[in-house]
Amino acid sequence: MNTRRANLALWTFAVVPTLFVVLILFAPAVQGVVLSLRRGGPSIANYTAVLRDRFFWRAVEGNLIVPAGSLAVEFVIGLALALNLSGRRGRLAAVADIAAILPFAIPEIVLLTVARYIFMPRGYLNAALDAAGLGPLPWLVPGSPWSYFTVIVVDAWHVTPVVMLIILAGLQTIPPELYEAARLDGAGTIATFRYITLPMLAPAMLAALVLRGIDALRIFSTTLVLTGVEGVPVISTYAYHLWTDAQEPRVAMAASVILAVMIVVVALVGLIAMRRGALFALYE
Amino acid sequence: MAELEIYKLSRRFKSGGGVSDVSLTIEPGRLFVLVGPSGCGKSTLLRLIAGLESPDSGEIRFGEAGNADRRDLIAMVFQNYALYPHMSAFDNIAFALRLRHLSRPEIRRRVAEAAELAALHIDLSRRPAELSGGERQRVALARALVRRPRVILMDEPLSSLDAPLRSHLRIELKEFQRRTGRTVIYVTHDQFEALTLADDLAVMRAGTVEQVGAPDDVYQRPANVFVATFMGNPLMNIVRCRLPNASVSAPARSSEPALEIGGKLAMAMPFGLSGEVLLGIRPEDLTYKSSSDCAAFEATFTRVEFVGPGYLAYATVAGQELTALLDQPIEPGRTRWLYAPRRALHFFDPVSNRRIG
Amino acid sequence: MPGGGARAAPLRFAIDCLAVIGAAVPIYLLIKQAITPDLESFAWPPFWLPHHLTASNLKSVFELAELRSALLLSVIVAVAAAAISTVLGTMLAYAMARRERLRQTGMAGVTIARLLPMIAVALPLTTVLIRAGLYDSPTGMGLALIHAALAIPTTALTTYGAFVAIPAEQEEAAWLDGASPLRVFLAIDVPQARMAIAASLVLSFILSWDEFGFALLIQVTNRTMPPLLYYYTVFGDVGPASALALVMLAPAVAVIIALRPMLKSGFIAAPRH
Repeated sequence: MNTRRANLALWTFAVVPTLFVVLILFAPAVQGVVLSLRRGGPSIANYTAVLRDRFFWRAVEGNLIVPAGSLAVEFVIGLALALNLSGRRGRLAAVADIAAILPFAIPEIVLLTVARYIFMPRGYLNAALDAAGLGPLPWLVPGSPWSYFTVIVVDAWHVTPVVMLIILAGLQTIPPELYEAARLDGAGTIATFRYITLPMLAPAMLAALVLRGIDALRIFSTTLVLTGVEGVPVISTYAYHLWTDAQEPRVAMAASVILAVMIVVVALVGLIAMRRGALFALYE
Repeated sequence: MAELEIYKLSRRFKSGGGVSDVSLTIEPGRLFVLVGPSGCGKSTLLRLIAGLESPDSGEIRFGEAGNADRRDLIAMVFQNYALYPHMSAFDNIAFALRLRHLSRPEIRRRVAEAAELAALHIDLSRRPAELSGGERQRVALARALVRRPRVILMDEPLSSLDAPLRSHLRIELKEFQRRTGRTVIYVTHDQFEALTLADDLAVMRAGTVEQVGAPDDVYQRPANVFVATFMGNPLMNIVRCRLPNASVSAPARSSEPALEIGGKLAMAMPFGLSGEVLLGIRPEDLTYKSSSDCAAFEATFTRVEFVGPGYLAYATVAGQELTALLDQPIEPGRTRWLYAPRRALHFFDPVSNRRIG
Repeated sequence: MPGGGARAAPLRFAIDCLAVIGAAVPIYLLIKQAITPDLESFAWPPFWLPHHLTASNLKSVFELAELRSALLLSVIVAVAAAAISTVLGTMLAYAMARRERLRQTGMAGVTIARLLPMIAVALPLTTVLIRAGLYDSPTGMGLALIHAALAIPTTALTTYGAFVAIPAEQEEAAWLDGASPLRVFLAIDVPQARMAIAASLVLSFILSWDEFGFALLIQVTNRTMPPLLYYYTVFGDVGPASALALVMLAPAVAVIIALRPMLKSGFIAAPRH
């Protein structure tokens, strides 16, 4: 239908939800930018306060290390899970399948709660290590490299299934004839993976990397629940700390604006690296 | 009074296609076929009539009905029928009536009436997915009829069916139109379907109407080279000819091969032609037998295909390709005379491509 | 992986084990802690198997006023958020499915919506909600609106495919039958997309049910379950925390497993804020 009334109806259908999202998510974000630039009058004092804070720079460091580590773990394990599940049948495959998706089904805060019990000094993991004669390790001790490791592992634990699902969907798009042709050409498992699977998966993986990268930079709950604000600081928890404990709302907003800018920059770089439209292909 | 008058209607799309400056008059109670190759604008024209598209310019006037809501005047049968898959056959047919808030008994009565007219004798509680192709067509027809429209539009309703069902349903559609007496405007890309179904037909190309007329008229007297080659299968041969008395002023096209006209063929020419001319002959009009009033061609055969009703022979005549539907096979490489009766010769202007005489 | 030979078997086994451990360990530990007294949870070395069973933790979820009201509030917020986001997301998806230009802008918008970090929205939004009287509201409506907005990309993407699959001719037939554009949508498209709409309802319910960050910042005293669980965990009530976690876990796991075929068919799981 291409009549005026039909067009009007469709535009209304598009505009109403858009307006709702803009009003609730984007308008406050813009207001946050405005508020962050005021202190009595227009001022950049909130930003200089953030940038002078040594703790902020630790948070920036954490906000780079944790997402990078988490992405690396997610993609290696996600790829392994996807390759392992792809094209498999039978009852055992269904069990493996559900098991692989399950950590994503567990609400994040629930998984973090359990992770605390596992990684705390007198938790299940240290008990197991102790029993094996390996002694306890400082999994969650603030400032120790182990605490970064723990945060990375737990963060990846929750979202690896998402990466697996994206890669699995990508694997489904590879025509099986390619594998047959490669086998006839004498390619072994590794050569097939190297010359067929990996290049064919590249667009999906790149898109997944951008999407997951954006999400990873927003890290908040994992570090807050596992280590608190001080243990492994990231920008979101730093802003949260300024807001709740330090009662510095404007400075908190400045910090969160800096994070938003960081994410936009990463997203832009990612989108440019990908061919245009490849991201949309992921949704369909 | 005409059922429908289309006056200088235009609708162009940014992506190309559409219709330009189309004028047509459609008489009541007729089965009017719009035929043309894909992209010729026939579906756009139908959608404009339906009101599914708005024209850039021009008008569509519904004769006596005047200014009533377009949707009360017309109904449409779609390609693939577009039945509502989540509704029973009954609900499909009753949908329009429910929107008009008719009473339940009235709806039942009118659905039964429409089903009867559409020769739909099935359990109407079944869903489209449970129906055969023919049953679906009848549901679609009943759905169109139930509103008692003046005009029913049909957009290639047969194109997605296999051949046997197609010819069966074609006959059914024609009978349906006779029985109901409605005006039907029918779109197809299939020239055979157009010829067999139509009371009147319009041949379209590139957004314009090339010829309007009765099927036999259009087939026997195509208005131009496009209509001549589009209507009919196998395709009409078009041979470039040069007249013996070509005047000096006629455009010289000596570089292109052309049939020198003389003898019997010259006698068949309409009076007053000069220079070059395009000669059209349908393959089935060519025979080995000569008669008193016919044109003759010396043809060298290159290839022969058995096509069932006869042999489709490919030949060269004065450097141009010609096909002939013959009743006997012939060996490639041989040269023989082929004859065509005078009434089977079509002449076209080489510049405008229009019919001469 | 197609073509993997017999040598791949031990590797496959190892990956299977990893998947099973990653899924089973947290669920097992939660169940164990929820059905044993706190003393067992704090023991060193810890008990690997439950010794003394108790129902008090699980009962407390439904008996302690704080837990019960959090459960109720979570349900209210998630139902409201799911209803709003499914209605709006379905509308958006329909518009995207019917107009190429709207599809492109819609997809771009969906992507941009993922860029905002929770904290950059939540902090200024808090001041807005205070003014609107929706901050820390006992009915959770402020949070419900936020969750609805967050879930719209998900509900739109979930239902988009169903609308694309409905041929335009059906709508044209309905329009010619006399239906208004809204009627066409309600009578022709919605019934055919009902499975996708149902999926988007439960998915958006779960997104709200699981959401932690906004809930923590906005429902500071009238808490929903995720922030309450956070406080229980931080302050060491292992038993009730585990029981609460189990109550949260059950519907989320049920929904994701039920929607597994859809998730596997290429649908990209929702962003988590």
